[in-house]
Amino acid sequence: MSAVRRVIIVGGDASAWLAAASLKRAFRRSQLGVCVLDLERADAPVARSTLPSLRGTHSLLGIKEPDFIRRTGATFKLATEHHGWHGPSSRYLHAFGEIGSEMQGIPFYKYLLLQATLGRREDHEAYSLAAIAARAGRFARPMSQSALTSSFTYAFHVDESTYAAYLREHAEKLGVERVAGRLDDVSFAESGDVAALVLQNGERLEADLFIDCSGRDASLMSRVSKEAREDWSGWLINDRVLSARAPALEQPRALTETTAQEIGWLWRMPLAQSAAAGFVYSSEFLSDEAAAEQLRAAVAGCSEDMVCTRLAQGRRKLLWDRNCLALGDAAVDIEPLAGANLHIAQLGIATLIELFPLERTARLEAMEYNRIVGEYVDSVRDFTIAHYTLSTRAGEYWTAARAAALPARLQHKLDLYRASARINQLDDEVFDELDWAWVLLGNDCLPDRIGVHTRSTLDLAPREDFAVLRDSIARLATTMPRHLDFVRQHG
Amino acid sequence: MRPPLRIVIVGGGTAGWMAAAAFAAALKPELRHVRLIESQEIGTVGVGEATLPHIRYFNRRIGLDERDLMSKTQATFKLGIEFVDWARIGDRYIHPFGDYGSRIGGVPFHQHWVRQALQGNAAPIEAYSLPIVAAYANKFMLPADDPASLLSTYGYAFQFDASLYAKYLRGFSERLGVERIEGKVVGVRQRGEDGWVESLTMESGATIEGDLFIDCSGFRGLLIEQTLKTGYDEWTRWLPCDRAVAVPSENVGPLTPYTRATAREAGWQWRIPLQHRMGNGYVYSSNFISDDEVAERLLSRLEGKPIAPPRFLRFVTGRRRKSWNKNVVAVGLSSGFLEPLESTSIYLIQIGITQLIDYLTEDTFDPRVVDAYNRWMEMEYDRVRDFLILHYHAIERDDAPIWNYCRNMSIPDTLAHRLELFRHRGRLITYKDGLFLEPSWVAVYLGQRVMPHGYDPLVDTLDPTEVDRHLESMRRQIADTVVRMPAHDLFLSKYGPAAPAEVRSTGT
Repeated sequence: MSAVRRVIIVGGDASAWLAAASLKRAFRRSQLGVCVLDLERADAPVARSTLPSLRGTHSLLGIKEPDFIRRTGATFKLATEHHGWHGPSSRYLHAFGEIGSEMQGIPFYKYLLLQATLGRREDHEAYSLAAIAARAGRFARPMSQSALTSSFTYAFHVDESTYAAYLREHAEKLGVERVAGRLDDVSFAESGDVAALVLQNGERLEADLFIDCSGRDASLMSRVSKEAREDWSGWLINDRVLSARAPALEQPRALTETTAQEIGWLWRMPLAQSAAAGFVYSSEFLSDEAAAEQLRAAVAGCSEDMVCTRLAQGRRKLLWDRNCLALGDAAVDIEPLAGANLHIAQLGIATLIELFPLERTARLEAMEYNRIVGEYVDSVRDFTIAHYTLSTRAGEYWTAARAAALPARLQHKLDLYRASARINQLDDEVFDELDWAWVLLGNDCLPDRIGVHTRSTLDLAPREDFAVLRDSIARLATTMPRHLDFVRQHG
Repeated sequence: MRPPLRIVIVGGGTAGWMAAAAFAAALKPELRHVRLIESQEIGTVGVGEATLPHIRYFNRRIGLDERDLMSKTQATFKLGIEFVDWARIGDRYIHPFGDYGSRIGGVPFHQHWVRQALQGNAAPIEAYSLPIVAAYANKFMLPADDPASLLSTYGYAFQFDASLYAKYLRGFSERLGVERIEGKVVGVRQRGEDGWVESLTMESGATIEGDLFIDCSGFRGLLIEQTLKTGYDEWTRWLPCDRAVAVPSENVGPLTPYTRATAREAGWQWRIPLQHRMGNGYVYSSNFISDDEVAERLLSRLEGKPIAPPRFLRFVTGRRRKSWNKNVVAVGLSSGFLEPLESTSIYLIQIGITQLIDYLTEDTFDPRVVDAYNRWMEMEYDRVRDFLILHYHAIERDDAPIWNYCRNMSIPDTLAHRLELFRHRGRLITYKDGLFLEPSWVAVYLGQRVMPHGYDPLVDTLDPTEVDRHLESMRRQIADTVVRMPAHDLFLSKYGPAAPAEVRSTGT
């Protein structure tokens, strides 16, 4: 049916191999040819923090989780813990789990908000098994046996190069071809479509569809699409990512840690045999040397060969133009605060499979792809910006990070929440109502008023069963294995 | 403790009483004081007789007993809407309240069907929809809760007398403490500094004060337009009809569990079977036909004897620029008008009210909330609008000027993109909020001869013989299930029959 018989993917990072394996797997019976031009260089950070959707992607690819954990040294992720975003001793969690459970059709967090407006603020984390387990360094997979044990989900921390190699092996087993080389030139057909890639050794690689996973240079897409990029640097002022390997932590918790600095923020995430750390900052406020020094000081024993990359936060206006798509950092460059960078690539791949072109000229498919994926991408941008907007940390850098007028859709969301505690979601958003609740409550952002219907429906009398719930969550968490033990036993 | 929110509803039609009932049921008595003003001298429009399945959620949310409601409103069951003579004279299709088939290999059902159709060996798509097969067989039973059952693949709505529904809700509301005030509003008093409505003056001289005013006064928009001059966006360029004439007739033959909309020379004719009579009407454009001619045509096409003289209505299709302005919220016709082609009038009332209740905060109407509510309602109206335009635009017939106009008119970009994508590869655009899910779009596209030129390449990753077998078994299961379903009449007579006295007094 499809006139697209061959696809070439440029790049060799995890997103490239994920795209290759997914396309090959989806169209294996149609004998779609998939080839990766492996540029054999990566500017991605040492490790990635992911979202729970990766599990679904793996299962579509036939990747078994224990095998993946064992072979890549990945660890589990129940939450992100943000330190210092409101002054040095502050902390909050964004966990992949429910907060309490619905009461008469109303989410439990609204009950907590309502209590808070009456001066009875409670710690919402105490109502989340994911949060309590993550804080205590415990982990187990969710189980359907009770409402509590099925109240959460999880993601992974993955070592970038090991993971890319693992995906490569999987993709090659599925029949993906691989060519190593450097891109020298792009050969265009009369129509303006890409006809072939010309490598430095003179080899020509022809295909019907091209995918650029070459990282933020977008070495292919930038030659195809003349459409400008959308620049987000007014909202997201960081322009550097520094990334390093760090010694394994003694009792690593199943979470990604971020720590706000005077300028920018540090991250740490556990891996089975080591750990990864990084620093996102603005070169306008901090020199690269000073940043490296700061990361070394903060993370004892971190590797000397740090990877310093320039961030140009923003996205391509057209993520798919003519017969060429950009995926991963080539499409969207955003600091990894929300841990959604790989997820954006996964969404791109899934949407491409759904809209796989019938003809080489795929004007309509490209239009629809750009609409859908663009919406998702913008929702990640908004979610990331919200971490800064809601932060109250003082200082010149932090003031600058909050200075710009927000994108209208984010302003609308925050306005409505502050005015009524309602969290409205647009059609295509990556983070759902609960994710937003975690961040809003975590930042102690309380609404001015609560909807009258919520107030009318919820009984505010003191409830003993809530104390019982908190206790059983605390108790259940302690029965879960230590995170690293779980990785070793069940990986 | 704050004093209760004083809610004043102006107008007692379907919209007014739905609002009253919802406020009374959703908010504790100490939080609200609800009054409704209506005048027996002002008639209500009350042509809305056909509903969508959403109304059941509304009824359940406020706590109505469905069987009692059906027996008090002369209700019949509704599995969909039949469209006759739209794309071409002689065509007919049902827009069902339910799914077509089910996904195979992760690929939407209709994509497989398109593959067969392009190969010339597809069974009619209707055969894959349980509600359509049941509707054409005049069968009905309640859907099952078990998601594995074929009987869970559809929903249902009612065809009822909207004025009886309003009456039913009035009784319900009054029992919950809603105060009804008889009389006409002759004056509106606004606050000096910002123009908020403070109170209404009644013909009797009484003053009704309120915090929140719900304008259910119909087309004229007593508060939202006449007082607040909110403005109106007209959509006649896409939906050219501007009048309707309605006439009830005697029932002839079995009660069909569906509504019918037949395209005519200057618009379309509706046929809605209730227990005690048939509702009929003709929605038309005054540019293309005269009132006299339209009435004559309608009367000549009735199946049974007319039981009342024809009633004429005028309207302007479009949407109020803001449904919520200051402390006035327009609900129903005062917030916009979309012709009843897809039975959306009561849905738009319902969503206007339930969203309002969800958005409303305690003591003040924050502009941030008002703006968000208005954006939501705009989205609801726009999505219904596009779906309606599709019916008028995807037309091949060229026997009448109105259809020539509609076939050639330019349509909103949102709809043009949708149509092009479906034509190209059967791709549907889905959305999270708002009316009309995938099967609705499939029904109308295919029913109006918008046939895809291609299909999802994932279809070809599956073994066609296996898929064909699977499709055949879907059809067989549906046919077998429908055979075992009871007749609509019979089911209705046990579930929610109208009291005999009422049948006599309102019938022939």
